[in-house]
Amino acid sequence: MSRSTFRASRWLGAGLAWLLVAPATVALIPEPAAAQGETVPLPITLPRPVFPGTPRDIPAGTSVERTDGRPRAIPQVPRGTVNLALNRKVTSSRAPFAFSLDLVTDGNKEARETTAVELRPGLQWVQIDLGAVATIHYVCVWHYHLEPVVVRDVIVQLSNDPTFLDGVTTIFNNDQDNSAGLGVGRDREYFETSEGRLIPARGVKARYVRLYSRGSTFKDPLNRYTEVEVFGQQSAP
Amino acid sequence: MMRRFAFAGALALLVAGALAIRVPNLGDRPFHGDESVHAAKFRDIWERGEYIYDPYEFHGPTLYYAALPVAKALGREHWADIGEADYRLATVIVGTLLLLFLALMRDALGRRGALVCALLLALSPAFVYYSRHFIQETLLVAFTLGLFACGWRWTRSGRLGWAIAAGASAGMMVATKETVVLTFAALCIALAVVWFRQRAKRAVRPWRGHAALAAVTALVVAVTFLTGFFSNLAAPVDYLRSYLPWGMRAHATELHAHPWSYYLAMLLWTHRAPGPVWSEALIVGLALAGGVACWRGASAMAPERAAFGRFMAVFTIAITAIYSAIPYKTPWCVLTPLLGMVLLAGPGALALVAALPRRFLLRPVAVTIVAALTAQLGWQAWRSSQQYATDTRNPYVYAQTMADVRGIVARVEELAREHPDRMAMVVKVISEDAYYWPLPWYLRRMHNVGYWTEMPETLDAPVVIASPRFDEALTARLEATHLMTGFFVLRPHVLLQVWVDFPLWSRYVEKRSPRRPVRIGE
Repeated sequence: MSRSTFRASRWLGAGLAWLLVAPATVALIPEPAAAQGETVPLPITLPRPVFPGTPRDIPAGTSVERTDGRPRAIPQVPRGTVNLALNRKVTSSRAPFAFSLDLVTDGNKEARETTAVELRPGLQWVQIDLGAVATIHYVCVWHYHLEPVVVRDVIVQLSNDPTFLDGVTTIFNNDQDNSAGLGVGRDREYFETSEGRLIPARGVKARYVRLYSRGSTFKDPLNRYTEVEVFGQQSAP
Repeated sequence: MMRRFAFAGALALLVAGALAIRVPNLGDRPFHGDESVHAAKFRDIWERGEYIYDPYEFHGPTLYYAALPVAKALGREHWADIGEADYRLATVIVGTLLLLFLALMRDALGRRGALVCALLLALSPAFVYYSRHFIQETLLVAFTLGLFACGWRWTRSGRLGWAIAAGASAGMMVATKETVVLTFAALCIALAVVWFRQRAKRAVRPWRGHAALAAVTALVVAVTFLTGFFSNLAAPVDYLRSYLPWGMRAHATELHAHPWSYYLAMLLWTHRAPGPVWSEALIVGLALAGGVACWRGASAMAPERAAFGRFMAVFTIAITAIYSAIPYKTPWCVLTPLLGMVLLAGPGALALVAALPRRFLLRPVAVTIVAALTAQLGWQAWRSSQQYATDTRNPYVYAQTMADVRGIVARVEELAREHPDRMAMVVKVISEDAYYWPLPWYLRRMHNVGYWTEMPETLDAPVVIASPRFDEALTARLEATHLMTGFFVLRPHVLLQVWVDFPLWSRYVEKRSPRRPVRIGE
C-alpha cells in the first residue's frame, strides 16, 4: 500500500465513523431551547354556526365589543396541549334548573336547546375539576349560541383551591360595575357565537376552573352553559 | 242669549278638556333634538334678553317669547333650572287656547259645527302630540287659525280692528316659521277661487285701505319679533335670505325626504305590528263630507257659511298638495293641512247628519257613531302622547330621543361628583355627525364639555362619549387608561358609548355599591 493510498483510506474510515457516531451523539445532546418551545395551532374544533355574523343592533346598557365578522385567528400553543376539561366533573353554585351539569364538559357544543345546562337567574357559577394541577393556556366557553345574546358579568377564575378563597387568578372579568363583588372588570362584553369566547390563561397552573355569569340579554334570565374547554398540559406528577 | 251661553259653556269645557289631555306627564318624554336646540337658543333671551335671528336654523322667535312668561311664572331663576315640562307648557297653553278662536267663527262654521271643530282640535292625536313639543308648529297653527278667525270677522263686519287683528296674526305667523309662505300661497289660491266664484253674485266692498293697514300691521309685528324688539335690525334681511338654505333643504337633502303620500298615509292608516292602529280618518272623512257639502251649496247652509267652507276646502287641498309635493317632510308639518281638515270636518259632521232621512233613527245612530269614533280619537291621542310617546310604532314619533339620554347625564353627573373638578370635569363628545342633540342641553350643568365630529388629537379627558364608529380607534388609544362602560341609545339605532378613566370609574363603582357580601346562587 502506497503512502498516499494509506492516507486516503484513513480519511475514508474517519468519515464513515463520523457518519455512524454523529446521529447517536446528536441524540444524546440536550434538546435546544427552540425545539423545546415548539408550538402548534390550538386543537379546537368549532360547532356549526346557526346565525351568520354578529347582529348590527347593539343592545343598550351593554359594553359589547365590536367584531369585524371574520373568523378568529387560531393561536399557537405548546405541543401537547389538549382539552383537559373533557368529561371532567362539574359542580355549580346551585343545582341546575334544567338538564345536567355533565353537558358542560361532554364535548357537545352544538347550538341546541338540549346541549346547554340551565342554571337559575342571578349570579351563578360552574366549576370544573381538572383532576390535577395543570398548565392552562386557554379557556374557551360557549354559554349559549343559539342566538347572539350577551351574557352579563362573565368572570373566569383559576385556582388550586376548590373553594376559590386562596390563590385565585382571574383571567377574564367583564363585571364592570363590580356587582358580583369580585373586583371591577376591565374586559368588555361580547356576543355569543359559535366561536365561543377564547380566553388566554398565560400558563397559569391550576386544578380548578370557575366561571361566573348573571343571566344574559336572552328573553329569560337563566344562566346557560353549553360547553367549557380548558386547553393546557397536565403538569408532571 | 241662552244659546250663546250654552255655546260659551261648551267651548270652555272643551278648552278645559284639551288642557287636561295635554298636561299630564309633560316632562316624561325626553327632549327631541329640535326641542333641545330651541331650549338652547332660548338661553340668549332668558339671560341677556337678546335674540339674533339665524337664517340657517331655528326659525322665528315667537316660541321663545311664549316660553319666557311661562318660565318666569313658574319661578325659575337660572336657565339650567328650566326643565322639559316648563318649556312645553308654553306650547300646551297655545295649543289649548287656539280653540277660543273658534268662537269668532261660530257663524262661519255654525255653533254646533264650531263645537265639533273644537272637539276634534282638542282630541286630534296629532294636535295633542305636537302641542306637547317645544317646537314652532303649534304656534304657527294657532296664528293661522287667528288669521282665519279675524279675517272672517272682518269680512262679516268690515271693521278696521278685525283687519288689524288679522294682520297681527299674519305677522306672528311670519315671525314663527318660514314655511308661512306655503300657507300664504294656499291662502292666495283659496281666495282667488272664492273671489271668482263670488264676484258675479255680490258687490265687492272697498277693502283696499283695510288690507293695506293689515299688511302694515303684519310687517310691523313680524319685524318687531324678528329683530328681537329692534335689537338686531339686520333680521328682516336675514329672514329673506333664509329662503335660500331652506329652499335648498326642501329639495336637496335626503335626510327628511319622504314620498308625496307621507302626510295622508300618516293621517289615514298606520299599523306597525305588533302595535295598535293609528288613524285620523274620521277627521279626513268628515272634512271630505264638509267640503262636498259646502261646494254644492247645501240647502241647509247659509250662503256665507258655504262660501267659507269653499274657501277652506280649496285652502286645505292646496296646502296638502304643497306640503306633499315638497320632498322634505317632517311629521309635525301635517298640522296646517290638518287644521284645514278640522275646520271642514265640523260643518261636514252636521251636513252628514242632516243629509240622513229622519226615519229609522238614522240620525241618532249616525251621531252615536261619530261620537264613538271621536272618543276613540281621544283614546289614540292619550296613548300617543303617554304610553307610546317615544315608541317608533307611533306615526307621530320622529327621530325621538330615547330615555337612555337621561342615563348618560346621570352617569356623567355622578362621575363628576367623584372627580376633583366636580362639574368642571372635562367631557369630550365625539359624534360621527352633528346630530348629537339633545346631549348638549342635557349636559348643560357641566361646564367643560367639548364636541367633535372627528377624532380629536388628544383624548385627555376623564370621560369620553363617542359614536360606535370610533370604537376601534378609541380602544387603541384608551384601552390602557379608560374603560368602555356601556352603550346608551340616543335615538333608535343611534348609540353612544361612554369611556371613563379607570381610577375614576373605580371610585364611582365603590361609591355606588360599597363592598357587600357576595350573594351567589340565590
